[in-house]
Amino acid sequence: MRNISLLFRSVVKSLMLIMATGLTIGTASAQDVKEGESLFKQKCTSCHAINSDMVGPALKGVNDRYSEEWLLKWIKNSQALVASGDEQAVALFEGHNRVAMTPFPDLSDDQIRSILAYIDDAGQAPAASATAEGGAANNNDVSGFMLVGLGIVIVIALLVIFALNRVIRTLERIIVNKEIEIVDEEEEPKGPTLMDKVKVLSKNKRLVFFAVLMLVVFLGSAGWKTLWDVGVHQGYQPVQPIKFSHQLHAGINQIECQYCHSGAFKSKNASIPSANVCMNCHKYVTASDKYNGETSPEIQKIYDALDWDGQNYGPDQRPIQWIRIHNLPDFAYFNHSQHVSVAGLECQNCHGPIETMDEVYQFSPLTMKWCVNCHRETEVNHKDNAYYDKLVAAHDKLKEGDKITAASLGGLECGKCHY
Amino acid sequence: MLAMNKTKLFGAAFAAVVFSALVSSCGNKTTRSTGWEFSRNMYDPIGYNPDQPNDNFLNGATAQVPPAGTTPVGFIRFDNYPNTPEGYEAAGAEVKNPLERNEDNLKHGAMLYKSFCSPCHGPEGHGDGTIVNMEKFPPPPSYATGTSSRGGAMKDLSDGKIYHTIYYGLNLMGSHASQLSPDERWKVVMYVHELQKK
Repeated sequence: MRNISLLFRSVVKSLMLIMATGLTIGTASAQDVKEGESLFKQKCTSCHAINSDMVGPALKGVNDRYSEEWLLKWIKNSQALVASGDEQAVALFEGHNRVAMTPFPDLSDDQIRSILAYIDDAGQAPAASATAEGGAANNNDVSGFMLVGLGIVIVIALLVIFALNRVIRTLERIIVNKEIEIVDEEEEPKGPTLMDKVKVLSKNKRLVFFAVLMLVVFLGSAGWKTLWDVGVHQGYQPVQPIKFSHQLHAGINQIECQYCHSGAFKSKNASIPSANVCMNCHKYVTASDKYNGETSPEIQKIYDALDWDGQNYGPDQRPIQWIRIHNLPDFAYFNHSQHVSVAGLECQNCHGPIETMDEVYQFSPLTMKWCVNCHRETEVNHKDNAYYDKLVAAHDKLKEGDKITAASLGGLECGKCHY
Repeated sequence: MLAMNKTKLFGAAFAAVVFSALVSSCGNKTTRSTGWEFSRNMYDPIGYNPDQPNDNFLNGATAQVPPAGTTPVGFIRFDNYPNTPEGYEAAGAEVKNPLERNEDNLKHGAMLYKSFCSPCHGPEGHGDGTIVNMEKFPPPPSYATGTSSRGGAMKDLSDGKIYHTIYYGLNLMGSHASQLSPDERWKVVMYVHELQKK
């Protein structure tokens, strides 16, 4: 008890100390840092990060590397500074592949100072992550407490086993004492054996008939279902090479399906995105805040496939071999663009609640019955739909009593004969 | 005797129902295996699917890059304008949108913009897309009020400059050439001009 209260008191003390020092440092520049943060996010993050090189270099410690006066000039117009022959500026420009930094003549000196204050503040962020680690350690303590609890349970269980053993031993002693009587008792109820019972039951014709009927029904229905499901992959959820979550990308982040599956608009194939589409975001997004500053191992797999070192693509590239889930047989023609662009169906119509799937599985059976049922029920929306213009025109002609030719139904299209 | 049989019969029926209920409720209907298949060769295509492995090519993929120096049907080459500041400026001065500005093209452009651009650039092009608002990706400059990192105001960007940026990407924006065909890019350019006014 005393230990705990002592611990608590020391924790409170150190917390207060930290807060006090934080306040003394913080009060003076808190406003600037906040303003700097919003400015930094507006103006700088397209190219810079605090801790890692992106388009521009990492900005951590930039206040120590350069003087404030120089930084003010550089940020307002870096190219003018380079042109003026400033040694530091030329070295920086040459050192970064001669990529020019956007000039910001509209930023005031005070605004730039608050951005620098924010960079300084954010550069010390590892301290924050250290406290986060401390939190994690506390979590470990909790699991340690559970371990102790488990240990106690195990000890109690052992005690129970020991006690039960003692009971069994005493009971055995009693049995040994009265052995003869027990043997007698065992011999006494020697009535009909199991085999005898089965023999009696097998003479009951009704029962046998019932059992056979049940067996036939069971095997028949199981066989029927199994045969129906041959080649139907509904619910198929293979393990993919990368744990890509549609729940995260399409659900939480609300990226439209077509951003990655851009073929769905205009092609038979909805297309699996090539890795450069991943890199549109993942050049920047590494989820490192969830992995102690390291790149997420799943995102790292994209980088490995592209031989990406953070700046350039290397020569050792290989495709990511996703496992195909939806596999329509080759004798059935299916075209995504016809369903997505012409009919205007949502992807979810066939693929189910894909935005909630952490791992994708096949939602629909993709059987002919399933296709045909939908085609029977779905009304065609021909208004403002260029695809049906010819069809509607032909019907209008018929209504007016005009004669129509094969050509007006698309009979002159090359593919009708030369397919 | 009969009474005993009855209870046994009921017991057996009850057990059967419980057993079948348990078996059928197992799992969430997903499986790691495709299950039984019959005459698999009727399902597998004779021709190759675009994303299928292929031993006939050195890199093992069916989808091959077109041979050097060839132009796919319907493609407009953009090689004269390399991914350099000079190429960007040249494209901005010389390249014009070949498509007619009409309602259909703008509508299609708006649809493409919504899918491919708005996650970052926002529905109105203010640089406030859903991803940006979640602070998962830094904001791009607004088309109407921002400054381009290559100098000048975003609202003054010309056809060629916008096309160049879609084609090659810029800063954190990646190239969107593989997702958008040349025509689609021009439709997006047309719609971005609308957003520059907002």
